[in-house]
Amino acid sequence: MSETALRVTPQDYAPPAVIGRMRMPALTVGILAAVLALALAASLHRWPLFLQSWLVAFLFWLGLTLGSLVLLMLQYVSGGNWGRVGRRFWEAASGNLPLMFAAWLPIAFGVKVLYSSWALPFDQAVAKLGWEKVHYYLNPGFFWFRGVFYFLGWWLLYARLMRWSKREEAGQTTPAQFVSIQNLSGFGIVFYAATITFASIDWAMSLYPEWWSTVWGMLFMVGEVLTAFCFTIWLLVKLAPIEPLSRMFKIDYLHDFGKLMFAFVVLWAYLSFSQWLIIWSGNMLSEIRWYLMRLNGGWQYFGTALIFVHFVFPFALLLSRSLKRHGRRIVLVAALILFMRLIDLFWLTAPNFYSGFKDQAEAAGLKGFGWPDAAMYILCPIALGGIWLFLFFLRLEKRSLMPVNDPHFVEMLEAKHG
Amino acid sequence: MPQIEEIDLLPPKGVRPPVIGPGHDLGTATDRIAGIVLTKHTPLFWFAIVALAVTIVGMLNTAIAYLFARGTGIWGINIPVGWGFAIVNFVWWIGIGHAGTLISAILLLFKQSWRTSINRFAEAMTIFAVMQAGLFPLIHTGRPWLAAYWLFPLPLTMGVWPQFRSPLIWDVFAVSTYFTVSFLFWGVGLIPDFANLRDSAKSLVVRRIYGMLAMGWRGSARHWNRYETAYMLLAGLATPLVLSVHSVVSLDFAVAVVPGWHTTFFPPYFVAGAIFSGFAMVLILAIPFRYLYNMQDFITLRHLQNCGKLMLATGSIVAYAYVLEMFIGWYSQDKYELAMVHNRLHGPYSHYYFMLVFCNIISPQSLWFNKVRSTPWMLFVLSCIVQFGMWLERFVIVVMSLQRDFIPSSWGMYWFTKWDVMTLVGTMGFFTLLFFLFIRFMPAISIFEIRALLPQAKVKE
Amino acid sequence: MMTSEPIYGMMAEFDNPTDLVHAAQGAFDAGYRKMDAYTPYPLEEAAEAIGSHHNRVPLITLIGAMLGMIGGYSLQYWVSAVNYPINVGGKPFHSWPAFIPVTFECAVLGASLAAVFGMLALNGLPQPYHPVFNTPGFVRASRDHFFLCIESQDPGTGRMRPGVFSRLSILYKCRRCRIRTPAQIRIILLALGAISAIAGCRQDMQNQPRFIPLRSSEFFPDQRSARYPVPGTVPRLDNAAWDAEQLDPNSYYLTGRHGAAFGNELPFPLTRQVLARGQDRYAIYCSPCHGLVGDGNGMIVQRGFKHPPTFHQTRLRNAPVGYFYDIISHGLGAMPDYAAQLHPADRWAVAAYLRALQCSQDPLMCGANIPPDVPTVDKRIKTPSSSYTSPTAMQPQGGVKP
Repeated sequence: MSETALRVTPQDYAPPAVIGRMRMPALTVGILAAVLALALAASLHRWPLFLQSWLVAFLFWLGLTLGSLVLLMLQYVSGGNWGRVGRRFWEAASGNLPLMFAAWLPIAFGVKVLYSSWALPFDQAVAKLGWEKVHYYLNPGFFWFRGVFYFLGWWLLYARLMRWSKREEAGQTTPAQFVSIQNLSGFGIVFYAATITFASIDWAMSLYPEWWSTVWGMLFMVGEVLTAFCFTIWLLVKLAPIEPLSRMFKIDYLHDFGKLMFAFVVLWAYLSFSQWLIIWSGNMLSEIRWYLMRLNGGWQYFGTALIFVHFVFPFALLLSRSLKRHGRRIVLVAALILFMRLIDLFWLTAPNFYSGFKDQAEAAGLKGFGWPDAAMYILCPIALGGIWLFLFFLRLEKRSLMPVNDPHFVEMLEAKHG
Repeated sequence: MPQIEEIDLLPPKGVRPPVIGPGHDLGTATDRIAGIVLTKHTPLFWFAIVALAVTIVGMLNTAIAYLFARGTGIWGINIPVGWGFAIVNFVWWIGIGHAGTLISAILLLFKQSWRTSINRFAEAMTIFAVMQAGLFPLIHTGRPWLAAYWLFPLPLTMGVWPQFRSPLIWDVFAVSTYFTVSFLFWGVGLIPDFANLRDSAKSLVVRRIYGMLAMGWRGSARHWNRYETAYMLLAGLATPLVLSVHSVVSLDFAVAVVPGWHTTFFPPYFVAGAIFSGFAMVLILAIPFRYLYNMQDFITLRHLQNCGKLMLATGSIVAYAYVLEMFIGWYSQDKYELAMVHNRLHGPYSHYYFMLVFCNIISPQSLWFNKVRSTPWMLFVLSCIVQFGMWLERFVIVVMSLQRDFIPSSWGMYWFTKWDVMTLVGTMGFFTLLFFLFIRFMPAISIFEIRALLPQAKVKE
Repeated sequence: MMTSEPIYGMMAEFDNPTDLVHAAQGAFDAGYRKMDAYTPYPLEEAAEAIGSHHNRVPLITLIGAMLGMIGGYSLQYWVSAVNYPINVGGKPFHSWPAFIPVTFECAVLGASLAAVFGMLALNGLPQPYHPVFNTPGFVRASRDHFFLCIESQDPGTGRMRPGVFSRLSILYKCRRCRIRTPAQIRIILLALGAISAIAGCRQDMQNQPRFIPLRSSEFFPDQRSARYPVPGTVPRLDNAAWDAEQLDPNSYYLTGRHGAAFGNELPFPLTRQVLARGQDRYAIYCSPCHGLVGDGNGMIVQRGFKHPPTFHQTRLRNAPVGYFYDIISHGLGAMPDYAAQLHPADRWAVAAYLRALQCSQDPLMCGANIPPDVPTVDKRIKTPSSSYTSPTAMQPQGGVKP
C-alpha cells in the first residue's frame, strides 16, 4: 500500500454524535440524584449519613479516574495494540481529576464528622491512639496536606501526559521524546502506587484507626484498575460497531480486554482472600474485629455476595472464549463487576458506622441500617457519577478517538485490512 | 560469525533491538541450536564446569549424610530460632523457579514473542530450582524416612491425618503440583524438538534415545492443533499456579502471629520477590550461556533489556513492600510491631537488614538507565547482587522475627554452622550440574518456537 | 513400480509454508478430507486448510479441573470434619477458608494432567510407527520443509496416480528393557545402609550432663535428683478468694465425700458458665473414651480401647455427683486419674456436665414436663455399633465462626 493511501488525519477519527447525545441525560440524572440526596440529608438532619455515602461514591469514581490514569501510563510502558485503542478514553477519564478534587472537599471539610474515631481534640485522640500516631500522622491538618499533595501529584502527571499527547496529535513529536514519556510513565506508576497506598489508608482504613492491613493499598490499586477495564469495555462495545472505530477495530482487542478483566478479577479475589485467610488464621483481637463487624448483623450477606457475584460468576463466565468475543455478553459481565466494585467499597467502609458489638452500638447511639441509609447510598454514587460522565463525554468529544500519529497505528490499520 | 560488538550494538534511541539476529532461515536456526546437542566435540569448558559441579555435589552428599547420621544439631537451629537456613534456602530456591514459569506461561499469554529464545532453559531452571527446594523439606528433620508420614495425607500413625489448616501441608500440595506442572510444560515443549533431534542425529543410539523421547511425533497439523491448545491451557493454568505456590509459601509465615510475619501483603510481596530473584537467575544463566555458545543471535539485547525492565518492576514492588512494612509497623502502634521495626533498624542483625536494603532497593534503581539494561556484564553483576539480596531477605524475615518475638526473656541469637553453608553451596552445585547436563543433552532454546518467529515462517497471501 | 503391499497415501513436499497452505486449500476444495499436513512448527493456517478446527482438549481439561477440585476439597472435609476431627487452635472442624489453597492446587493438578495426557491420547501418541516416516526426505519435516499427505483411503484418491510407496515398516525395534540395578547403585545403597546402621549405634544425646527426673544424682548428699520444696514455699492456687477450707484435704471440695458417703451437690453454685466449662473440659479430656454424648463410643474406643460404661444407665443416673468427682480424681479400672489435668473446680464442672448429659438422654430424670407420647430416650445411642457424634455439639467456644 502506498503512503498516500494510508495517510489518515485526526479528523478521520472524530468522535461520533452518540457521545454528545449521552451528555445531557447523564448530567440531568446526576443533578437530580444530588438534589434528592441533599434534600434527604437535610430533611432527616443526617449529614453524617450523607458524608458516609459520599465517601463511597467518591472512592468509586476516583477509582475510575485513577485507574484510567494508570492504564494510560501502563500502555506507554508496555506497548500493545489493546492499549492504543483505549488511550483516548483513559485520557478523557483521568481529566476528571479536578472534579474528584472538588468531590474530595466535602470529605476534607467533614473530616471531624466522618473520621470521628480519630479526628478528635488532640488529648482525646492521644488517649485513644497514642501520641506518636496522632501527632505524626492521624491529625486533620496533615490529612488535608496529604490529600492536596496526592491530587497535585496526580494532576501534574496527567498534565504532562496530556501535553505530550496533544503534541503527538499535532504531529510534533519524535521517537526520542516517546522514550522520555515512557520513563515518566514508569515513574508515574511508582508514584501512583505510593500515593494510592497512603490515600487509601487515609480515606478508608483510618475509619477504624486501631486496625491495619498491609495489603490494603494493593487491594485499592487492583480494584481501581479493574473498574477502569470494565468501563473501557462498555465504551468499546458501545462505540466499536459505528464509525469511526469500526474502520480499524478488531474483535481481538475486545478479547484482550476481556482477558485483562478476567486477570484482574482473579487478582482482586486473590488479594481479598489472602487478607481474609491471614487474619482469620491469626484470629488476633487487634485484627479480627474488623472482620467480625463485616460478618455479622446482616453484613455477611454482602460479604457472601462479593465472593459469588464479584468472583465466582465472572470467573466462570470469563473462562469462555466466545463470551469474551461477544460484545453484548461481555458488557453485561463488565456491568456486573462494576456494580460489585461499588458493593465492595460499600462493604469495606460502611460497617464502621453501623455495627460494632451490640451494646457498644447502642451505647454510642448508633442507628441501624434503614431505608434512608440505603437510599442515600444509592443516590450519592449516581449523583457524582452523572456529573462525572457529563464531563467525561464533554472531554471525549473534543479530540479524535484514536492516536493516529502513533507510529504503530499504521500496523493496526494493516492488521484490519491486510 | 559476526563480532560480539556488532551484535550487542545498541540501536538508536526509540528503536528496540530485534528479537532474532538477522540472516537466519529455518535450517540455520535449527542447526545452530541443535548443534550444541548433536555435536561430537563437547567444549572443554563444559567438562571443567561439570567437574567442578560434581565436586560440589559430593560436598552436598557429605553434608546430607552427616545430617542423617548426627541429626539437625549439626545445624545452627536452636531455640528461639527453630527455622534457619533450611527454610530460607527452600523459599529462595522456589522463588528462583518462578521466573521460568512467568517467562513460559505468562509472557505466552501476553503474546510477547521475545520470550521464545529463553523460555526453554528458563523452564529447565524452574524444574531444577524446585528440585533443590524440594530437598529441604525432605532432609530438614534429619529423619527423611518419616517423610511420607508427615508430608502426605497417609494415616500411617494412629489414624492421624495432616492438619489441613496449616500452610505446611498446603506447601506439600503446592510445591508438588508446581513441580509436576512445570515438568509437564517443559516436557511437552520438548517433544517436537526431540523429534527434530531424532531426525538430525547421525548415530543410531542417539536416534533411538531421542526417538523414544519424541514418542513418534511427526509434526502433523492435526496434532499441532491439539498440542497448541494443550500448551496454551498449561500456560493459563501455570499462571495462577505461580501466584498460588509462592503465596502458600508466604502463608507459612503469614498465618503465624509472630510480628514481622503476620502481615497481609505477604502473598503478593513474596510473589513479586520470587519473580525478581527468578529474573536475576535467568540473567545469571543466560549471559554466560550466550557468550560461551555464541547465541547472541537468539538471546539478543532485547531479551536482556526486557529482563532488566521486569526486574525493575518487580524490584520496585519489593521496595514498596519494605517501606510499607516499616510504615504500617509504626502506624499500628502495636508494641510488638514497633519492637519488630526497632529490631530491624537497631537490633543485632541490623547490618543484614541494611545490606538487604542496599542489594534490593538501591542497586536495582540502576536499571532505570538504559545503559545498564543494555550492558551484559553490568546486568550480570547486578543480578548476582540481587540474588544475594533476595537470600538475605528471607534470612531477615525468618531469623530476625524469630530471634526476638514476644517475650524478652526468650530472645536469643542464631549462629549458622559450616554444615548449613555446605548444604546451601551444595545445592547450588547440584543445580549447576543439572543445568549443564541439560544444555548438553537437550535443546536449550525452543527450536520450533524460534522457527515460528522467523519471517520465512509466515504464510503470505 | 507397484508392490503388493497397501499404499498409505501420496505425499507432496514444499519448501515454504505458503505453498503448503495453498495446496492444502486446493485439496480441501477438491473434496479431499482424509489428509494431513506436516510442519516443523505449529501453522494455524495449515490446520484450518485441512479442516482441523476445534478439539476436545479444553473439555478434558475442565473435567480434570473439576475432579481435582472436588477430590481435594472432599479429602480435606472428610479428614477434618468426619473421620478424625481435632480441635486445633479453636478453629472449626470445617475450616473452609483454610481448605481453599489445597483445593485450588488439586484443581490445577487435575487440569494439567488431563490436558497433557488428554492431548497425547487424542493424538494417539506415543506412536513410534507410522507410514509417513518412510517418505524419503521426511526428516526435513521436523526441520525446514513442509509436507502434505493425502491418504489412499480417501474416496477421492482413486482418481490420483499413486506416487509414494509406503510399507508398514518398523521404524525401530523396542527391545524389551529390563531394569538392572547397576553395580554402582548397589554399592551406594549398601553404603547408605551402613552409615545409618553406624549412626544408630552412637547416640550422644543419651548422655547429657543434666538431671533426669527421678534418677540418682551424685551432686546431692542423699543421692536423689528430686528435691523437696524449701520451707515457706507457697502452693499455687489460681483463685485467692477460695477460703481456707479448700486447702483442707478432707474438705468436700477436694474429696466429694461427706465422711464416707458421696455427696450429690456441687461445693459452689451451679451457673451456666460452670456447665460451659464442664462441657469444654469434657470435650478435651473425656470424649476420646466416653464419646461426646457419654455413651462410651469415643474415638479410641472405636479403634480398640476398652469400652467404658455408658452414663445413660440407671446405676449411673442414680450415682451422686461426688462419685463422679472421685473417679475423675483417682481413676477406676482402665481409666487413669485426671487429677493432674483437671483442677478440682474443673472436675466438679465436668461432673455437673455429666448430669447435663444424662438429662439430655432422659429428661424425666431432671423433672422436665414431657408429653407421654414423646420418646424420652434417643434410641440411636443405645447400640454400641453406632456412634452419633454431632459436630455442632462440639463447636469450640470463642474464635471466629465463618
